[in-house]
Amino acid sequence: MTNKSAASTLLASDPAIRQQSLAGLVQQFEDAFVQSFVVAAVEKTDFQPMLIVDMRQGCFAAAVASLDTNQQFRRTVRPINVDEGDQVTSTRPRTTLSAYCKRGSTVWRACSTSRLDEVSTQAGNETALNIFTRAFEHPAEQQSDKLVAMWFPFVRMFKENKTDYAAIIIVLDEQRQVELITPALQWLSERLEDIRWQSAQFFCVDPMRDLRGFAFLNEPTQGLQARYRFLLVHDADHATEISYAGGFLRYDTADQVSDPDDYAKIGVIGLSGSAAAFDPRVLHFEEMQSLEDAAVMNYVLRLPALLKRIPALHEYGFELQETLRQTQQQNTERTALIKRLQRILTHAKKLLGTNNK
Amino acid sequence: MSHNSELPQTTEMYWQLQIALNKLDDELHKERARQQQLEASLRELHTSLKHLFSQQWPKLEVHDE
Repeated sequence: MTNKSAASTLLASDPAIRQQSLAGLVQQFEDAFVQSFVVAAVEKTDFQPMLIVDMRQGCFAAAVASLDTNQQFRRTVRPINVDEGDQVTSTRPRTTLSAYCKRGSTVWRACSTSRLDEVSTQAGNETALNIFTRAFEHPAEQQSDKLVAMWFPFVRMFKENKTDYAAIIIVLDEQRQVELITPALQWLSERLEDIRWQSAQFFCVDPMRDLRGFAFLNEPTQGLQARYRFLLVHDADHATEISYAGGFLRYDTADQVSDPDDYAKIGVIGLSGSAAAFDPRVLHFEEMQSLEDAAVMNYVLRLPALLKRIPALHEYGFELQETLRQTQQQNTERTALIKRLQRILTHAKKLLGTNNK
Repeated sequence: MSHNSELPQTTEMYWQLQIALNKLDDELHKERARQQQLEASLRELHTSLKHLFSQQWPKLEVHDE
């Protein structure tokens, strides 16, 4: 899929859908992690690299989520070249980045904030301490263009890599930034011909939340400490147990299923009914193929937690029934009142008709 | 793997419960939409009556309640 279709994907995604998808970015990463297990379990490797661009709190950082040849889930930080002085550049994986340009020029350069302090004191430089803050200072009709221009030095990073990303995920602080960046990205997508992605999504995520989650085991020691067990139930008689411990993944045919609570996640295939409309985190898979075809998001059903919710769901059902009953009663009363008022109005018009034509 | 029928049964119960909740939710949504229509009709009737009475008896004070 080309970037033009990516642009249409961007435009088509309305805030409600995005919000619904936002059960948690970390959960998405977790799902991608588990997907890597499942993919290996069925001997398929169709997990495509995903680029995550974190633009929270005035930072610009990027990482690629992918599977390596050993089916291990990897998070690779994408370094960004920044301008640190005349003819001097350095590579920053994540720092508070900004941009500046010579007044009258349209070429913006990425730089660190320490470098920005220096260039801002020099005459003839235009700076953006925080790209979004600066963009919002302009009239609404110019905001998108300003953002494009200032953001461009960072987006050049996309061009430096020929990878086709399955998805580009942009993480922001506020919804209004999403509204600002959407048309800007459309503008960009038309100009970055050699960049390909299948979909792009925006997420507004609390700045304090660590995007790496446990799926983004950047540090080996984190991986060694983590221990997780997952279960993929194919049908009543077959299941695959996936465990992660000591930095290694294991795929075993489960010969004994213990308590569902023992598993961090359980995927179930082939059950009738669908809860997807009610709970955006849950997808129902008719068969294995639909599970494989599913997007990274919502890949695994979080059943242990959901099963615990059954009593609460019953309770919620009773509340819904009561609210429905009360609303129906109110509507019946209102219908009767409307009929009475209509009769009164008709009578009154008849009585006063000569004066109220 | 040894057969463990409890897990599918429990999950089946979960799906059925969710489906029932979905239906209730849909029904409530429709009923609330109807409620809004009824309220609009009531407001319209109220305005018509108020207009009618105020024209007939200009000095009559009509209190909104």
